[in-house]
Amino acid sequence: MDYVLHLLVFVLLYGMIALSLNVASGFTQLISLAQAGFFGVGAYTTAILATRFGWPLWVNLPLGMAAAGLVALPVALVALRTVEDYFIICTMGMGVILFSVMNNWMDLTRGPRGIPGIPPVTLFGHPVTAKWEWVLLAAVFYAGVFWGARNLKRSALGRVLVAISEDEIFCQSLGKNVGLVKLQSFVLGAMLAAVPGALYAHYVSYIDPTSFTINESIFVLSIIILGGMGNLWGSLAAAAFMILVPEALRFVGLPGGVAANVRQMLYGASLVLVVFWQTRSGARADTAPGQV
Amino acid sequence: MEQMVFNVLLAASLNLLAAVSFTFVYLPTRAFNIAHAAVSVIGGYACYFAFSRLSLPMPIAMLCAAITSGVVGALIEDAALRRLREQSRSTWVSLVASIALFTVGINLISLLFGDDVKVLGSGSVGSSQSWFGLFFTLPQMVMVAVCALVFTTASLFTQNSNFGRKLIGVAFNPDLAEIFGVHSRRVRLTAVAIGSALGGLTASLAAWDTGLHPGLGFRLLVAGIVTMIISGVGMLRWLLGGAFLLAVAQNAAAYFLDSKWMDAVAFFILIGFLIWKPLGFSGRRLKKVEV
Repeated sequence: MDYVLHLLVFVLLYGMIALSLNVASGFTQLISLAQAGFFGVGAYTTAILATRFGWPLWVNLPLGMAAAGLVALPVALVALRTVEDYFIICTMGMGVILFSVMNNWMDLTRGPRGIPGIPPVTLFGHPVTAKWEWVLLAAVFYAGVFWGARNLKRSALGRVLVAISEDEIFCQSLGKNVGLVKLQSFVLGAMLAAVPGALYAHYVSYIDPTSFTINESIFVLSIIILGGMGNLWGSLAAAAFMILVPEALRFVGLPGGVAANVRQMLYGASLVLVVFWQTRSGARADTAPGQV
Repeated sequence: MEQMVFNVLLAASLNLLAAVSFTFVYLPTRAFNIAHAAVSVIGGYACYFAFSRLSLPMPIAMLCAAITSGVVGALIEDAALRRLREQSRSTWVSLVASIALFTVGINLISLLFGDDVKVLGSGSVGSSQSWFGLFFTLPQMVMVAVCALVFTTASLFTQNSNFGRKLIGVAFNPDLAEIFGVHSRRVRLTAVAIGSALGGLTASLAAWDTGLHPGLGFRLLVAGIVTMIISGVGMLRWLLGGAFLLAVAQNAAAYFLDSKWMDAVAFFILIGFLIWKPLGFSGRRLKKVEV
């Protein structure tokens, strides 16, 4: 039972990262491969403050979000000057740079050795250690992130974001500051990605740079494409599918090392199939900005 | 100092080979193909299999690598990426699919051959050669020589051959090329096959020098993309400047900072060019600048 609850925690965490990527990329259809980096910034900020100063989650979380936002700002200022696949390449590069900083800045992050001994979250003096407690905590945070993302989508900013994905030039002609709007959504998405990052650090109690590579960004991208870009409900369903279905490999009896590769191949294959299906069915994910 | 100059020359040779191979894949399709990394490293492992397991001579093994990569690259292009580009007007669709195919390919390689570094050789440490104080190995000299041959041949081929003119036509104005009777789909497929074959050859040469592992393809891809972008997409000769700039920057980072920052330096250069010189060395306009 503990294992099932553990999987549920990860479904909720990745569901939150997917929501954050939907805010950053899903509404505007601008694919970003830097989201794992912002997830990592949130995790490392929390881990460093918790282990060095003993600060609680309630202090570290806003600071982690602020740190992610500060990192995302120059990233967005640079990347948003490019378009379409160059934007993707640029964000991929940013993700690689963030990983390099996490892996090589030994004094701050301890590099490949990672940061161990992250204390558990304390709620009214009670340490949250049981799996069912973590499921509840993650669910509460997921609800908060979902509420924020949904309200954003329904707000004036959200309507402009959706309009940009349909016809960016028309939005500009209506006097909308498209560049500023895209910048705001990118930075907000990065800040939201720091929330599951902070929770992840406390949950696993040890983090290292290998959890925040381009592969993680690709995995989260797979989730939002599978769930439908801009579809907030689809994020959780897709996260559940992508995390729970490969777990069936455990019952097939594959060795641990082989199972990891097969899992990655399943992710890649499912992403290719979904992309093919969406282009054939003419789903919203296909629609290029600016098209009539 | 002379050794550092040679190291830069070596790095530039590898960057140039990677850029030439990627340019052949990118130019006719105008789509970033991340699966090219997996295609290249598949060629590297084909070379390893032919050389180490079948005991074929290295030139034959590298030919096998080129053929294997060419076939796999052409299959991926025709079966998947071309169809996606035709069905969707969003360029990111084929890019995302290529990323997914890269994930599948790399993990398949890891499954079949493992993640450990494979050595293309007898297993014993060979002695380096020395010439006027410069130290180099046979694989390194072969890499520089092959790079010079490939670059010269590719440049002359694209400028002076019938296929080269068709390739440039399809790359810069596919509709007009079709009107003039050029079979653009066949030209694209052939160019992608050539680029993939060169990618397999590049991975084999790199593997012969420093060892083979699944992550090699992505490193070569990054070098190829960065070199191509900072050179500006156009005639192949402009790739020479980009390759040397990237090699100098990475070796300087390794010398003054640490070699672990080399990957980040490549992307810093890329981003710097995207901001301050978006047209690259050649000045050829890409769709990098926002409308």
